[in-house]
Amino acid sequence: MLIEAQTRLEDQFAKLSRERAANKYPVYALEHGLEASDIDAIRQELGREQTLRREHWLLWIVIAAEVGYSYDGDEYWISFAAEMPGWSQFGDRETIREWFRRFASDFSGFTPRGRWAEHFSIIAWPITHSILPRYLQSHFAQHLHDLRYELASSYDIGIEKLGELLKAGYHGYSSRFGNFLEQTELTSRLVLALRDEDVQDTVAPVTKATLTRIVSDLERQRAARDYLSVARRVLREARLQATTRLVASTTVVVTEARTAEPEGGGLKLIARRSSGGSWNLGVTFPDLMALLRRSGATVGTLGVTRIRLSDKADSWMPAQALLSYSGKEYALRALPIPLTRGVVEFEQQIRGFSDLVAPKLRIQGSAPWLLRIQGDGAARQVLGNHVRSGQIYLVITQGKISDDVAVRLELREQECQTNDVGAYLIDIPRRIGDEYLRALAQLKLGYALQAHVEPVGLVPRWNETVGGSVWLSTEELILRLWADFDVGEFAIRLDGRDRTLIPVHNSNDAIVSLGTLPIGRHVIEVGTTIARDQGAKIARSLQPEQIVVEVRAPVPWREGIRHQAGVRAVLEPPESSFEDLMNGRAEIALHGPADRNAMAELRLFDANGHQVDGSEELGQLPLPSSATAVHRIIEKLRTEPLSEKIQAAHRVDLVFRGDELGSSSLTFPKDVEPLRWKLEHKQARYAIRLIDEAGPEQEIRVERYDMRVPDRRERLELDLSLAGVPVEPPGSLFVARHEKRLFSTIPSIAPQQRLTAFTDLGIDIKFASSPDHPRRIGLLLALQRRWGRAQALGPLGMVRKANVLAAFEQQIARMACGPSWADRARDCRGGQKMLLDRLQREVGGSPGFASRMRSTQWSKTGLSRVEREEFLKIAKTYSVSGNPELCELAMRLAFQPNTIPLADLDKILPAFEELARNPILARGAFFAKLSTDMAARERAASSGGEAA
Amino acid sequence: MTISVVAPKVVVQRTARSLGLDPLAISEGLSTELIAQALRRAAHILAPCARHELESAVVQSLAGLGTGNDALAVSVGTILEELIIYGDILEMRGADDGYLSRGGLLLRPAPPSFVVRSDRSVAILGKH
Repeated sequence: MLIEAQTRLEDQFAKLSRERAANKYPVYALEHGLEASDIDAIRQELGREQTLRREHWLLWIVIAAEVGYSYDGDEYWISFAAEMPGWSQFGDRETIREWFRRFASDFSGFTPRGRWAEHFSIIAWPITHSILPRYLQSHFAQHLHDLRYELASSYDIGIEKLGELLKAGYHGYSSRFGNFLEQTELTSRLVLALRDEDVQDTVAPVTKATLTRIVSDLERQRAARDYLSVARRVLREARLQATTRLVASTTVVVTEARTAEPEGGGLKLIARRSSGGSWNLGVTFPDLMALLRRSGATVGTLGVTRIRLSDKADSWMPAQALLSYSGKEYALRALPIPLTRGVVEFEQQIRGFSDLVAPKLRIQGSAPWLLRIQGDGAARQVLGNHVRSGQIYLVITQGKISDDVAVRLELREQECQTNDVGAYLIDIPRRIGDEYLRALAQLKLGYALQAHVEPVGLVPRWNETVGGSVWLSTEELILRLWADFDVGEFAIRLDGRDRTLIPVHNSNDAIVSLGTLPIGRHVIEVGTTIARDQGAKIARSLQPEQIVVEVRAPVPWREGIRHQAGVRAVLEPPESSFEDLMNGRAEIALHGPADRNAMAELRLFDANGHQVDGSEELGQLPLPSSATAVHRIIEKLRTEPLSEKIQAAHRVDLVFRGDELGSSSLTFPKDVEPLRWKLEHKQARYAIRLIDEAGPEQEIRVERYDMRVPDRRERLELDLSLAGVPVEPPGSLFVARHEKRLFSTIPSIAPQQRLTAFTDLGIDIKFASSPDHPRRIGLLLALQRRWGRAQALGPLGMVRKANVLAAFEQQIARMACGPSWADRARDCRGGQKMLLDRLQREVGGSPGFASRMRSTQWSKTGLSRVEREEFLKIAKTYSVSGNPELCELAMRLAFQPNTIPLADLDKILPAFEELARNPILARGAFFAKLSTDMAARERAASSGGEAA
Repeated sequence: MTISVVAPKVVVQRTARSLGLDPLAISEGLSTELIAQALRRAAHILAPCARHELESAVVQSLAGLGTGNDALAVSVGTILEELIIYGDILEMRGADDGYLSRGGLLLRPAPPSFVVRSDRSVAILGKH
């Protein structure tokens, strides 16, 4: 039976391969053409064999693709093993991948590509060969619906770009679906197949039977069915229109002289006047996050390099900092030299992103730049350098303007904060003579009479970054053209095509329709000719006006309303993860009208993007609410059963609802890593299991650190970790290392026996590292960071992780300051305030040193340059230390140990030894931190609040 | 695409179509439905904005299309008031208002009101 099925499959795939050869369409394993009952029979037969036989290789990849089609999006190999009993004994993932590769070569089978396919190098094959896995179908239908107008208007952009469009247009929160969209070739063929299913006599990119199966599964959900139906209708209508247009307009296409598509452009200059009267010249950055998304790169990708600004050549900063400039103005100390250099430079190129962003980070045009002073007082660059009568401009030059020209144009020189540029104000008079025109020309400035172009009928959307208005593909663009002189005719040119002349008789205006424009950026050029009796001399000087118009598809209400709702939740820093929020590295502020409330809700989603278990109300918050108030609500997420549900969710949404004000939601997708840990609760016992979906090329090493001895490492067998390691109370840190990356988690559970007191929940933490070895401070700092980065799982995970981190801090303090002093400092912090005076006396050295440590106003971080210098000065004064590096190390260790660089161990480890030899210095720094914290707590208590 | 000169009357019809209205179903000139829909659309673009900003933007875009500008400004103001009363547009205080620095009221768009009928079709409600 298996041999016969193998032969049938060989015939089926060979036939498909031949049919598609001319179109170069790949073949997918899901297009096997077998009935569901046949698949079941094959699965059972293969399962009975309990071995992978080469002669059945096609059967195995078909079964693998079937599992890829139906699995729940969580763990592929677990689903595979469930379908194929005994797989864990006889199975071999590498063989399955080899057979998929053979399929690609023998039958022109599909080959997965992209970053996801590299990281998930085995399961990428069966999942992409299932074409559209069931758990992604509703995502796909909705995405198709959202992009239906763009896709419809992109009828002839080519198959590669169609997939790119789908990928670039996704701003949703499912990392799995985002990964799926990386397969641009697959997704574009799927769109074509869905659109052209009704077309006979064509070679389909996916067989009809397979497509019918996918569509019928998709239509089982009402919402997905509606989305798909609308999207397909729009796509098919567009196909028909495009076909008609091509037939009817052949001659037009031949005769039309089309210029290149308008470029995205670079940075535009902007100048603002300071309170002192001088000008600050700068640039407005584009939406860099959107560019990052468009390039397919992630925020994490930026981590591999650094950037610097052209006017701060010595200050390299992490490339992620670039995103903080997105859409913002930046004052330049100097212009880039040469001007072809970008305002931002990357230390290393990031594939895809650097090429895309580089031209957009260069200043547009060349000197002199013309900036028109607008209603808000800011001067903004005018491309084309054409002045208008009655307007005031700022002219920026890279040299001095000759006195002759300056006098003729009545230029007023301005003070500018940017180095090596000249700035001049020019007030264009209402009436202009020939001499003035010649002087303008000498300055390379053109002149246009005051002709106006404005939209009529619809209020335009203004986009600062584009420097033009934005219209929808469904909106007709109608312009009113008028001038304050009698017009002979207007001339309109769209995207560099032939001009359309609009004669005007006895009037100075006209209303012109450009119809609905295709999606994309367009340049409209409007020229004006003065009526003959106005004089020929001026008529020669008229310059056309250029307007940039961007046309986009309509955005669904749920996306479009986001920035206008009456309630707004702001995550700071943006793009932070849920873990960042829970660990205090990110915070939420809630904005809204005073005297109103908003309800905070938790919504959890599964891999399909479906909400799980309804919404969980977390509590009411007054509007507006500070980050501290929101944090109290968020703390509830640490408790059971919410924390366990969150752990299992694929996406977490925090929604703030303000009745008719609308709602604002923050979405935290959970990225799926090729290696990840899962805590499982079965039969009253907990086990932690490593899910491995990475390729086997690199060795995976697994380690465990017990909470009770958090600096002692224990190696674990990989097979044991894959099968599941029992988690014993109180819990452990588990770390899997793969290709220099760490995948870590901290599962923690309560003891099995009955608890009789709260103290039973505590843990007794001891360290393997003796306090007598200060070199070990470096190791403890590294381990503390490892524990800090790990995700806490289980009922007590968060609490106990915090306990361990606090224990590391205490142990480091003991090593640096001595055990008894450090223990007393802990007790003082714990509530025994009377110990503060004794601790001050025990700092050692001159009593004045400790006194100054207490009386000086240190900030919470204590790391500003001024504070470091002050600390060094006091240490020198009292002969504690004159070593600036050692003093800085002491301050960092006490105030912000996570800022101590650990890369150069040869340098840092002896430094810890030297610090331990000077306990007065170390105790001084820790005492400064302690007294600062205690004072802040006192202040908060006296004001009725709480210390942050 | 075709570039063509259009008369104000045609502009009104085409604007109605761009706003999602049936140009044949609406009455002659700048009807209440058209102004109301233009206000809803503009609120979505300009929000949060002051009332006068929304009014002047819509008046400017519809100027010269039939009614005199003064009469148009009165119509726009009246219709905006009705939209606020019906809840199509929300009027509220600014997000950054403190106890001591309270600015003017701001307008924001509201989601469309609707009724689900027994046949599961949905009727959208609004100023007409």
